[in-house]
Amino acid sequence: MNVAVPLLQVDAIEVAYHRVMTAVQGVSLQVGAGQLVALMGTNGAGKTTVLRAISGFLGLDDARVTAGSIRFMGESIENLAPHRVTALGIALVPERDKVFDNLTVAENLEAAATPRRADRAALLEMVHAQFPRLAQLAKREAGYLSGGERQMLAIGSALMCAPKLLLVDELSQGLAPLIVQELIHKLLALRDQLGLTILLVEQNARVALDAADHGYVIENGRIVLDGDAAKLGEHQDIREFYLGQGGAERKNYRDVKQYKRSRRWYG
Amino acid sequence: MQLVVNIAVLASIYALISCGYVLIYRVSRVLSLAHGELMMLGAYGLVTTASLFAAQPGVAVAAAGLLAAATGALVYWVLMRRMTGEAVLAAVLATIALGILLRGAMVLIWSAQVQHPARMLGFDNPVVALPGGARLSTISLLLVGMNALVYLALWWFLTRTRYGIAMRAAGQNPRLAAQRGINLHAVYALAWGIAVFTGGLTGILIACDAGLDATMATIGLKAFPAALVGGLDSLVGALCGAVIVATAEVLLIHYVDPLLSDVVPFLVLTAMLIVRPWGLFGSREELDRV
Amino acid sequence: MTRHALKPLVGATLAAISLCSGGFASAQDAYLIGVSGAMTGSAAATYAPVVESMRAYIDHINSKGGINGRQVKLVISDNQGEASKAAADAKKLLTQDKVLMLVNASLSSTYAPMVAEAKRANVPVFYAGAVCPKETYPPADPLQFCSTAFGAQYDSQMALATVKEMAKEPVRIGFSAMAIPLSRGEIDYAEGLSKTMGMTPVDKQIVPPPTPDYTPFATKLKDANPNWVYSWAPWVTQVRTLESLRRLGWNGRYIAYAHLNAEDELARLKDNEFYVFGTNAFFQDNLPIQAELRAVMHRAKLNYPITQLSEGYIAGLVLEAALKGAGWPTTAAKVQASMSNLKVDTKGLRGGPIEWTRDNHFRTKQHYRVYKWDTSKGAITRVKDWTAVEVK
Repeated sequence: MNVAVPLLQVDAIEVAYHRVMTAVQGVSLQVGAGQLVALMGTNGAGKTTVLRAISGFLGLDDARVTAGSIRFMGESIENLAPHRVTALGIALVPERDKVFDNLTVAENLEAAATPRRADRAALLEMVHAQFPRLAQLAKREAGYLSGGERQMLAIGSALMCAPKLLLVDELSQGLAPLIVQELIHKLLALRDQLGLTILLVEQNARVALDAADHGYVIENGRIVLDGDAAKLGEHQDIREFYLGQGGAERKNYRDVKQYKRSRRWYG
Repeated sequence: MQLVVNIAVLASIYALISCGYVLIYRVSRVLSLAHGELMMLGAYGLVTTASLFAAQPGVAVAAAGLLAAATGALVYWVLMRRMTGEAVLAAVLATIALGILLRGAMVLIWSAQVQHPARMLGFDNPVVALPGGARLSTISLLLVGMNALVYLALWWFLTRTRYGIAMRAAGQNPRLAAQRGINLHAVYALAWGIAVFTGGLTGILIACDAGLDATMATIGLKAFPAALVGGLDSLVGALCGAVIVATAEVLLIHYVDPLLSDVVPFLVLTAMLIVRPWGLFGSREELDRV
Repeated sequence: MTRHALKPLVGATLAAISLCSGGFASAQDAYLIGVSGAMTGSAAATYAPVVESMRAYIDHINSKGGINGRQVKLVISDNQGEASKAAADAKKLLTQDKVLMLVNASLSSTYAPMVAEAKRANVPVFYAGAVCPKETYPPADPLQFCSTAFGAQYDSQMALATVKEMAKEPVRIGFSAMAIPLSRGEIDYAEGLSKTMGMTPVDKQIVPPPTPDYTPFATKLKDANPNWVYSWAPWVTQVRTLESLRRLGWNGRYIAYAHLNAEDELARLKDNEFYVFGTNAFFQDNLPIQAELRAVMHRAKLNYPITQLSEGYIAGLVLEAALKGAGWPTTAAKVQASMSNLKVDTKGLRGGPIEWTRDNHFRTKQHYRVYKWDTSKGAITRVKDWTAVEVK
């Protein structure tokens, strides 16, 4: 699992929006080939920004990686245009607007650009094999799909780009736990069968830590903790603030002192 | 019967011009107010190719069409590409500036004289008599036919080919499209190329039918209500809008007062904006205040 | 800075300023004439050739020594047929360049602002190629003059007289105009006139300027079943109404005013029943003056067909005569006086001389010819030779 050169190496990046707002500072992470790595944090911590920094910003965002480096398979990719990053082998499943609503399922899969090295027909077959529902729903407009189906389509269309690294932003958001489980199993199956590397951004730490090999926690634009998934699951702060398992007894809300304990991330 | 034919011809003119507006708007959310001038440039292109290839009209027309398509892509690459990411208003102003520039340039290059490319190609434009007593010129008939052909071709392209689907995707959600590997600049350039090609084609047909002079750019503006009535991002809408506006115009000229014909397209547009601002088939989105 | 150094510095500065504002020939040395015309824009086809050919003629005169031994300098501005630009041009030409005369070669919408400025500066306005406003007809406005061929009301009188002469049966006449004030006004006048001449006006079509398809208008016109149609409008409306009528299968006779490009268009259309009446001689007459015109234009390397350049040449002849009469040194008032008593020999380009008097700044007599294409001969023939109409 620990490879000499990780597939993705992010080194102390800093991302600024509109040239004045720093969203993320000094963030470093590594993803080894074949791993499923989780990036956890609360709302607004900077998780989506990190994913966008890796997958490329569009002119519309008015954002840039202003310091640090991002290396994919040894190549620098910071501030490349998104479609170039996709051509190199990184595909993003975004949190919102993850499918083309006014196109049918089949058209969604058709729209994705496959790099020349890959076989499009084989990819389509693989996607249909992994997500049989999509074949059944081929003529349905994507806007009318249920949450789970939409996520499947999003993953499926990302797979059509023949990625080596799949970035998934908020897999579980708005989905029933059963569907989330199904999707997690799918991701793990894809990792095992296709050798796909996955970086999973998740608010739901339980889901993330159960599936991942390695994890990072990001808060206020900085990485505050990282380590083996199992170890992270034991960490006191994680248990209390992310897994809701702080303390054995039930707490009395009148006991205000509890909420004054701040996260220190020391052990 | 003659009235039906007149409506069909006028609707075809408006529809062919409108599909350029719609294509550019739908794909890149930019309103190209230089479309009338680009249409005119396409027609002047034929004047030049006709003088070069007078003996082979087919070559002249094909060359003019290719020139128009290339011009569209070039306009995107040199000018509009720098406007991506800027406010929509800035992009629209850029197209207005381009229109003004082109108008002056065309007079400088080709002089202000009326040109007759059909005559340069040795084409007589004979009259065709239809069953039912209606008559129209060959080129008018060709206009109607070309309109149907262009819309069919666009429909096929946008729904059945990968580039067309990619184009629709880029129009809906540019960020996601980029993340799915679609090169947005290439898609926009292609859209501009196709749009200016259809505009140039219309300009060529009108020029062969009735002569080419500096007023053609204003005709481009007259077709704008047809596109808006249909919903600026729907091709089906543009077609319907063109038929509605043309019908209103021809019937009012015939039964009420010919002077109304100038005003009718804008009356129809005003009515539509009051009742249903996103047009007949347009997508109901945040209507930017421009 | 010492007082000694200051004086030469001031003097040098003043000299520099006066040199810069003068241009090539300073105002003292040449006749300065301001021109504001529709050089670009939708009306350019009608007016740009006039200005260019006038300029070519003036260059020719200058090369032969000028007028009264002085060069003539034309300061040309493009107003694109827009009133606001024409106003700006007039202001600049009058206050900055201090021209002796303003020449207007543009649409009638540009007249009012220009005349207003000219009146303030007491400088005459000369309409060259631009339709003559009624202020140039007797009794004329002292500052407005016009050499342009076509004239409201006289044209329609001539046209309808021709129709009456040539009609073989009772005349049912249709009319076509462009939706601009002068064209509409003239056609309304013609409609009324036709009734007094015993004709039956059957329909009148007023077409807005930028119309992609004239067929709907022509359909209505044809349905009224006229045997003659008269159109007085910019050429585009005249010819496209005719073409649309023919496409619909109408075979009647059509008469329209012969604008600059009439000669070329008759040859293009080859329509045996299409009559044009006008005041300028066609180039197929091969007059000596036309050969001279050809030579001048050829030297100037103009981009227009020769057949469109008479109007500007005539304007040049008029300008030459006016300035000759104004002497040297001269003022705007002297130029105006010269123009108020002018007789210009057009040497056959028109049917007769252009005569201006104190009350008549149009001409004392308007001469017309009628031409058409004769399919049996395969050439343009003259249907009626110079016919004079008194201008009172």
